[in-house]
Amino acid sequence: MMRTLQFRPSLAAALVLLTLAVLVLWGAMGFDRSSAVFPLFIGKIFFGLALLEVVLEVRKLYRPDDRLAASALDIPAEERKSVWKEVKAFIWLAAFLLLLYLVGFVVAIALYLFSFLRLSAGRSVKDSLIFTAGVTLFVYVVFMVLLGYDLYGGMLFERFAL
Amino acid sequence: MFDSVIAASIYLGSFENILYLCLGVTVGLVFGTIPGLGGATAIALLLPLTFGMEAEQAMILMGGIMGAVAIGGSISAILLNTPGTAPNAATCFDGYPLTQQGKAGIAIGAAATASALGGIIGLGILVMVIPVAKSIVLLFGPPAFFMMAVLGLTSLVAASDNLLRGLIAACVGLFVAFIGYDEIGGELRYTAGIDYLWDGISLVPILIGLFAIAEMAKLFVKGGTIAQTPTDGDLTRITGTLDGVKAVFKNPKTLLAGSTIGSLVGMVPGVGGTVASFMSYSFTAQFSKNNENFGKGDIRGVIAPEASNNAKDGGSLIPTLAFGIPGSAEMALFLGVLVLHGMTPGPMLLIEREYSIFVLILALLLSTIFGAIIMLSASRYLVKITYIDSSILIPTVISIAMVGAYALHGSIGDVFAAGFFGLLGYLMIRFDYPRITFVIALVLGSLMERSFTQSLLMFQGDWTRFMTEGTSRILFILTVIALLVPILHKLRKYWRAS
Repeated sequence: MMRTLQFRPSLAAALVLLTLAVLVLWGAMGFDRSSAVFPLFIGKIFFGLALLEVVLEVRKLYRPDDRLAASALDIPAEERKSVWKEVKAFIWLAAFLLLLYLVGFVVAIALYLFSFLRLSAGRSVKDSLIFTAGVTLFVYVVFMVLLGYDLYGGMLFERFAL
Repeated sequence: MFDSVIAASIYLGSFENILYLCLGVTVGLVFGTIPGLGGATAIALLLPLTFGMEAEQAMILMGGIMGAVAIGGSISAILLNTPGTAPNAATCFDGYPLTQQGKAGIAIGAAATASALGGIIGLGILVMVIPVAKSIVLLFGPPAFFMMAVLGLTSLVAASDNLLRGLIAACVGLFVAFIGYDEIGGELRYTAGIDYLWDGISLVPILIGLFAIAEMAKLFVKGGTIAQTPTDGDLTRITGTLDGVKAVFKNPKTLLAGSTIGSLVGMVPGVGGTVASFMSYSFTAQFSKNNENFGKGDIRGVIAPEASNNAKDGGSLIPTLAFGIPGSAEMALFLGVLVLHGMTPGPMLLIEREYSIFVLILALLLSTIFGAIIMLSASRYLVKITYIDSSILIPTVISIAMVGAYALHGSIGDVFAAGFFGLLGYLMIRFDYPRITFVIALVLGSLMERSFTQSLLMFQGDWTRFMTEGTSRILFILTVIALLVPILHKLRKYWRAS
């Protein structure tokens, strides 16, 4: 009988960890003896554990109980929905980081908050503006005025002296 | 010791320091009340505020948070059946049935009083143990220190649900600790040619990423308000708190048993408050007279876990301060705060910085009392915090967290590192790899490597002597036991099932 194997994200995670363990060991082999002793010791343990995790995950692929349970619960559709939400969460984070790099903290925080509240939370313009102004002012007063931190001004502003 | 206590009391009594303590208590209560946030996120967020402070002031602020978090957690456990922090879960068993019976005030009164008294008893035990701990830690050489760190890490892994993944997370934590300039061999390790990694990755962005950002990502995926369990009780009428206070004094045995269990369990590295509160709940439920009402709204079922929950803070300071081995995520972050302020945890800390330790002890003591008073008077308002929409909380916390990541070194690289560890932290939650073992391995990395290298020099390269020499042999045996117990437990369950 033809058996279809479901993709398991936890197997992908285990494989990434196994690769990392190999890199730790490989890197440690290039160090001087005193710098290499402990990384080699930990690297070997890490490799063994990661390999065991991969083996256990591969075994789960072939275990009929798990596959039946997975199909009965209809997880993939739910999973897809949740994965898209996860991707969105990190797209927001990446966009915020990019903004921070380009325009600095104060402007990035204001832009990020406003667009998040409008686009992701669906808040009204008035609510979004009030809330954005409140948090930006809080960050400015607490961190820049009271604590005296010189927050990053942004690559664009610094390069073009805007 | 007495001089240190007086000096610490005078220091703590200044207006500025009381203000820091109140700030810590308020933040601790709010973050404790909101399920899913907890003390680790609060400490990660407030870390940047401490950079310009004296070390003792930072300890006061963090002590305020740690003392109040567990108290805040009991509010949502009692009123919403949703524990604010994991150790408050045992409080739900009898706290929520009391709310359903219209006795929320009694439960809150008892929880606040038991928390405050439990905290005081736990700190009393800590003060008694410190002189003994000082002489014990001086007996530890590099091999024993290495094995102690291994034991701490192992017992923490053993307490996690997945032993294998806990160990893997610890290995990844150690790998991150290797990154940068190696003090022993004078070599750059795992920097991949990136200048930013030469000094290693600072602890602050890692902690902010793993806890504050990862938790916000989790909240984004979950959506809605934080607490979604509607309560059957009427939250606008919380009365009878004084009866709750009296109930604690009517049950001194329950209070004492809970506090003692909390303190003792807290001293074991890696076991933590959740085990302590569940242990004291089951102990009380098993050995109390007329125990048929446990689980249906017995006030002793609130007193025991709450007393234990706050008493464990005193106990868990022993491994954290004396050996540099934190027992929980909060303690790992607190350890980070100490290191940032130039205080290296270990045997000499207890001897050289006795005064600072007493500042912390007094801060914890006052924070439990302040927290309990605020809880008694404002629980009906505090519980409303849990209904804040996550769409407001997420961008606010992320914005402040990123400022915090940047503030210590003024490095934009730290901001990107926080983002990266936010992603890593989320993936660890998603795939059930415990973040706590990662963080503790990261914090212990340099101590472990130093002790390991020194020991190998002492043993002339023969690593088997870790298992055969003096104190390290005892610690090795304990490590093996800590690893075997969960395996045997699982095997027993498997045999019984089949």
